[in-house]
Amino acid sequence: MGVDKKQKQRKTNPFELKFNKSKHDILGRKKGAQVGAPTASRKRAHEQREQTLGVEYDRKNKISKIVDKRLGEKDGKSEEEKGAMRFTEERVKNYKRASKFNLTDDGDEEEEVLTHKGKALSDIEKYDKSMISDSDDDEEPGNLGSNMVKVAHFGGGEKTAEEHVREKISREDMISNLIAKTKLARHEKQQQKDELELMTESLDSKYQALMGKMKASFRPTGRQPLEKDDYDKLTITLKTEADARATPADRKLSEEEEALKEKERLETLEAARISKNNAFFNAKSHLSADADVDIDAGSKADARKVQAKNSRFEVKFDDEGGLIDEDTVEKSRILKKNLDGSDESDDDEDLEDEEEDLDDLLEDEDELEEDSDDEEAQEAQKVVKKAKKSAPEPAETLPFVFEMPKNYKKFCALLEKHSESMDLVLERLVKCHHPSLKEGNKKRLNKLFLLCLRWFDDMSKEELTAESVKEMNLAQETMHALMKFDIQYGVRCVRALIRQHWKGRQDKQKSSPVSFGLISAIRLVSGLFPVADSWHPVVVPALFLATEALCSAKCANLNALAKQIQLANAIVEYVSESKRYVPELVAFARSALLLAVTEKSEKFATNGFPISKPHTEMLCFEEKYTGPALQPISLTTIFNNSPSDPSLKLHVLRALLSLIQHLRVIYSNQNETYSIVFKPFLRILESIQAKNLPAEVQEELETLCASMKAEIGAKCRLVHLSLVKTEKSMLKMLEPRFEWDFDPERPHHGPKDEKKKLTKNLRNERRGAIKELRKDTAFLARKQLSSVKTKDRARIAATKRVMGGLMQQQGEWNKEKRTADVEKKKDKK
Amino acid sequence: MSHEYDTVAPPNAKRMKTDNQLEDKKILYVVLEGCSLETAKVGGEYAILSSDKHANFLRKQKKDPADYRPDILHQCLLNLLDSPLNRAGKLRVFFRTSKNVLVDVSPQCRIPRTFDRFCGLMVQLLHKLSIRAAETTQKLMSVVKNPVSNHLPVGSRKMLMSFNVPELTMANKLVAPETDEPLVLIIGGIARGKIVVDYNDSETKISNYPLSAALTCAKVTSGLEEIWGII
Repeated sequence: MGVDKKQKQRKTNPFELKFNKSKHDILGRKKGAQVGAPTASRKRAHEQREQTLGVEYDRKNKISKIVDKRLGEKDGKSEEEKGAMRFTEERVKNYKRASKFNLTDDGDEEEEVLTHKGKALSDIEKYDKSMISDSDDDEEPGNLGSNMVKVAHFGGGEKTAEEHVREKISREDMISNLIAKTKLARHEKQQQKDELELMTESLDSKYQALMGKMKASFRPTGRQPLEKDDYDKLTITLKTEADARATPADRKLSEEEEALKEKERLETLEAARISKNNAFFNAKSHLSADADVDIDAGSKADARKVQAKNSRFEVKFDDEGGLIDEDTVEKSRILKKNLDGSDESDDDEDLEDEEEDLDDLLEDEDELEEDSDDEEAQEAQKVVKKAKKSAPEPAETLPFVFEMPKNYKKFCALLEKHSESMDLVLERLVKCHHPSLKEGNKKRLNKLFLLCLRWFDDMSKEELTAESVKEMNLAQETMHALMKFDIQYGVRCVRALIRQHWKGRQDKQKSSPVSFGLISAIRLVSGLFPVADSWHPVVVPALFLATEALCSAKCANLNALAKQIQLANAIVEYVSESKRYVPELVAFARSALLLAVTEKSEKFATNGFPISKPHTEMLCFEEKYTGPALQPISLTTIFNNSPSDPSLKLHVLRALLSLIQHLRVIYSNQNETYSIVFKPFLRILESIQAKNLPAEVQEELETLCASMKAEIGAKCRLVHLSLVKTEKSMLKMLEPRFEWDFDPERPHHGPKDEKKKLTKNLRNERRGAIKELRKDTAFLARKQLSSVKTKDRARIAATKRVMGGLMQQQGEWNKEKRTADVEKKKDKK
Repeated sequence: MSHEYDTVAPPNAKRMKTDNQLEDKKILYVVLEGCSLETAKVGGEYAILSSDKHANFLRKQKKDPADYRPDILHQCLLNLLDSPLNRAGKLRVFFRTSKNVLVDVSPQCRIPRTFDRFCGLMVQLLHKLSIRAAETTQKLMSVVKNPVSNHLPVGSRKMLMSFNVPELTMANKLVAPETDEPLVLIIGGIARGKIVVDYNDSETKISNYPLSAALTCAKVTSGLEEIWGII
């Protein structure tokens, strides 16, 4: 208590305290030491040095020292006490040693027993080898039994009676005896082992036998086999019926069947090709309800589409435009030669052969007919006989078998004769002359194709009636059916037809509106051949012909315009799949649309349109339309030069709108050019006076406008570059850097800061060490000084003492001298 | 270095000496005096003391919670730095806390919209003594050396906004539109009481009603926008 009080008193001494001034006081933060006592801490440091460095300093240059270990010498105790101390020391020393290191203690304590696994070590037999050794151990050569070893090595001492007897046996005997014993023991062991092995084996074999017998009676355990699938069944059949006799997969087919099969195969192949083709044009163009302007054309187109999808003929061709049929290139050439009846073999001549008109072709055919007239007559009879057997029995009274007509007149006569059921007649004609039935039938069918084509052409040139359209349809179907027998010939014929039309357009009727014949020919091509191909020997010329006709023809009146629109519709059909851009088509549509507005924003794009006033507003409606209800244009009104109908104007306009709708849909995949192409259209469409039109047409116009506008908006990508101007120049505001894990106590953290921290630590430590060392030096200097001072003091004191003594001596001597002088003087006196 | 600013140069931007004559003198300096912005370690976290969040803590420390209103400063700064006057580069803002910490706010500083984030930013400011922009190293707020008169233009008119003065000046008549000189306004960022500073030359009021600090800031900036034609 007393010491504590003193310390407290010392702390409270205000003159020994140092107060820290806090500059940035933050509430809630722990403050460091506010008050320090420098003198006290200095004193504490001095004391510590005294105990450590001071002691070391004192011992400097001192090598050894004497330690007095006598008991009680220093304290100055009496002899008796010293004796007692020594005794206790002795006892303590002995006791400690005994208790600490002696395992077996003094006699009075119980002896401790070392154990192993609960047994006393002494109990465990020392030389029992069975613990470690197994049977093989003894078998090693030279390895003696443990008993032998025991006797041989550690024998002696107390002797048994037996040994007493054997004492006198010589050493050699003993050893031989020993070996024999060992051998015997080993042999016995081996025998035992063999026996055991034999027994195990026999037991095993018995068990196996028993198991073999029992196996059948056991119930199957474990997983049930899974239901067999196809694969398993197949494997099993393959396994079991491997040596079974193979049965033929198909019976041998007759030729007709084979032909049919071949056709089916071609169809499936073609369908696959078409579907593959269609993958490119997956976005199948959408046709609106009013797309079909005339029912006939529409139905025809539909039928044709179906046909085309199912069975279009693939025609391959080489670089020169020659046809290629992979398997039968040579064969086709031979066929051609036969057809022409000449021996041309040059490729050039072959090509020249193809450059012929339909009329030439017809003439050739006629010549050929006359040559082989008799021959054919005989053949025909045979055919009749044969066909009679094979032809199916129809319900009608029609003859089942027809002779192939020898020329066009006969053909026409035949058809006229059976005008009610032309389709059946034609069908039977084709059937009866299947090329597999007879040699030369192919040629006949080719002729039939030519006849059909001529029939088709003639019909298209005649006055248009519903009947003729039907007949044309029939002709086309027949041609389509015939095409599969000889494509090359079909191509040649159709090309000839196109060439004829082309020549016709070239000279006489260059600027006249298209005839129905031309349109129907073009439609025929699209019905017979795949129009989507990028290059086709028939389709491409047909397309050229159509576009040429579209451009060059003059649209002087509504009728002509309607015809041109029909032609345009046919062209649309060509490009609807390939989405090819046909500039003539677009230009025509735009120019035709211009006819429907009074204020023309642009000039006509093609030169077939009228310039003078009443004709340029052909499609304008000045007053409200009050004509008959809307119906699709009938082909007869257009092509038969019948007096113009008041409703025709509206019909033409409607057809035009639907054409534009088609175009819009077809070209909607052209992202880059769409807006450029269709913006003028939209402008014209918007300026059409819709209020005079009937409600249905108005609606159509509106939907067309809206869809076109939307599509233009979506595809309008071109944006002109322009300088962007901000409305008001103003100061740019900057977001302050916000640290989410800000810790004011550790404001810096990062990869660099670790190093920084360490260097700072190092600097502080070094500074502290230097400070300590300085203080140590000061302490030592102080100590040295104090020791020097004490020595000096002692020396001075000694000197003083000596000097004092000497002075006293001198004084005494002087005194003595003085007294002696005085006595001398007295004596003298 | 005015070319760095593609739009308007802030008034504190560094300029070349030759640009001196181009320097715009029409600048409003606002000094928010006596703002309460004090950090404290509350529950192991450093936070700006505010009356509603730390009432108990303040009472424990024997302080009056009503004195701790950092939201006033937040509102004032929002009003000032979002004003068109500032966006036109004609405003400089300083604020001084009740603990005598003087802060220079850059005109380009976008003050955090939420109060909590503002407080977080202010904690950073008071401990690190400066706030930089997120993308660049530009200083947006920095603690500067007192007194504030060292940072104000020499010879400028310094007015203290107070309610208890007879002189009334409309906010749109604080300066004459033709004079081309800066104006210093001292506004108290306090909830109650009066500001006393030694560097002002006049005291005035802009309304006969006592106004809050934020409203004063708004009125003053809009008034000067009117005078200097910043619409």
